[in-house]
Amino acid sequence: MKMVCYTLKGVSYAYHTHQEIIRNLSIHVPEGKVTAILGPNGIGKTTFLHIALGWLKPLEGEVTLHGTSLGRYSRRDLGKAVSLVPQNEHISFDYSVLEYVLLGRTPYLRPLALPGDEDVAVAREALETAGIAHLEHKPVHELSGGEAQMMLLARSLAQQPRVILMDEPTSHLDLANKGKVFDLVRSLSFRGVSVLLTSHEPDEAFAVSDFTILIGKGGLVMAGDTPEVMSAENLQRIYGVPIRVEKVNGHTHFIWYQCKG
Amino acid sequence: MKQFRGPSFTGALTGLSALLLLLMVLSVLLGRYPQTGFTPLRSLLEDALALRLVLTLRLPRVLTAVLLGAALASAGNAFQMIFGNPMVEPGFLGVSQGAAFGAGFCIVFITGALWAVQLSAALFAILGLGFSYYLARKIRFGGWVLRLILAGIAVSAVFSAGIGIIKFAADPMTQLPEITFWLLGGLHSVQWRDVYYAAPIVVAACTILVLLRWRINVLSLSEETAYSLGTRPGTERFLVLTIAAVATAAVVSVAGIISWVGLIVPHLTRRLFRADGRYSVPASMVLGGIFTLICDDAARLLFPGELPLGVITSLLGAVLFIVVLALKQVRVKA
Repeated sequence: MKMVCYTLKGVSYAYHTHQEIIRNLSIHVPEGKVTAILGPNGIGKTTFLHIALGWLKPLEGEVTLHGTSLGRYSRRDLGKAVSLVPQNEHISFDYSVLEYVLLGRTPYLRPLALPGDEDVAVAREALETAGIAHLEHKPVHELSGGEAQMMLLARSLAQQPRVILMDEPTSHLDLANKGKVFDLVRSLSFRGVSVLLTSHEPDEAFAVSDFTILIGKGGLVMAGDTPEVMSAENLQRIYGVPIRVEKVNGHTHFIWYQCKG
Repeated sequence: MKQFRGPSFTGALTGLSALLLLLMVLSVLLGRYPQTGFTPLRSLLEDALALRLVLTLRLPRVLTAVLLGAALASAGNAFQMIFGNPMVEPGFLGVSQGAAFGAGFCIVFITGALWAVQLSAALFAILGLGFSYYLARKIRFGGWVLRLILAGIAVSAVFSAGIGIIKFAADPMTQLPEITFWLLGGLHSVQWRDVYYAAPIVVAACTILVLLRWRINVLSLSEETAYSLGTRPGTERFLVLTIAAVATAAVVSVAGIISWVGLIVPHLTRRLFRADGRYSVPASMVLGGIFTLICDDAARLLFPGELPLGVITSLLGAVLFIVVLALKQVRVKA
């Protein structure tokens, strides 16, 4: 039997009355796997992540994490269990990379406490894992897009979470940096960390995920193991454009057509 | 590779604290009696008037200047970090304009007695803060920070309009100069009772801000990231801003509107030390004290008559601002 990370039962959410962005969603997210939440822009993928984070409270239904309702976790315990890698993090002040990553230790500190040597060691280990240990002293405003993304990941790793929520982690990255992020995501999953990431790129989701949740207009949802769910037919229903699946040298590619005639 | 070169943070802060103490001693001795310049120590033993002047006028004034600087700079730093905006100052959220309105209202419609003007200024400063929070809760769009910024702008604008009306209604021969001088800010009328009133509030607020310095770092991030790190961003930001605003209200009600201290000193602190609240929160307090003390010394001795402190802080603050923006960054090690 598959271990379950998140269970959503009849979850609905709306930013404005009568405009539910998520409607009566019931789903199990597997433990220790990479789960892709795939769908077109503006469909509620980020909302899904924010509900999983506990940041947004469902209007109806219940979300449980490892069998316990999110509402029963203390703020610190939830911070230790779940970390977030946002799509963009506007950092107003020029922290060094290590100072920023050290913020990930906050759930382990009492409200008035400062991080100690052990926390610094964990933060340095996170930098090492993310492959940016050499940037430790660099001011965050001097980082490239790829380095900044790895720093966000390192901060989330410093939380030593069991679940990492990633909001379109590769949307601003070039191919080489996308590869680095996906390698890290796979290695985290190998170490038993559950990763939920949003994407609107079928190729990327297919390449990195074990489990896929497809979200379409009108609350349409299909979920299951990635190879089963990500068929041309399902993707066409979600995106509303013709999509063809092709295998090239054993790799699956999703080709969509824009040109007519 | 070592990125930051210079003295350690503890060493630098200790040095700055020692400099502040030295400046306080020198400022107490600095004045116009028995002659312009430093009062010789021998005069304090031999001249009863000189001793009385130092103990009853200069000492409370110097202490108030340090409290004023520490409060405005640390509150400004907290405001800038919480709002994620380096152009925010602690009088934001209707505090400064509320205090100004309260002072003007009291002078024109109630009494010009100093204690009453200060009390009215403090009450309206807190009222401005309360209005801003109330309005922010009523605004139906945008995140928490944007709503507070909009509410602060709106409440400040209402109080500014009120000050305009009060100035229009004021007696141009007696009340208007008093309002204008109060709005320019100064420590010329400070007595020991002002120290007794402001010191407990400022010391308590600064202590809490120092204790919360790591938390302030976390609260400078986006709301969802701060939440994901186990904080309650809404509640904790409200707490930090309220503490900073109350400290600001306490000193503004004593000294009037002293601009630029809460804006430039946090900038200078981040340039000299680091943005990290572990360093910038305590360092801004010490630097704020030094900056305000130097400005106050200049205000009372630079010209034959005393200049309003707010004018000197604006002048020196603006010059420093240009220098800080133009100069290469120098920082100390953690």
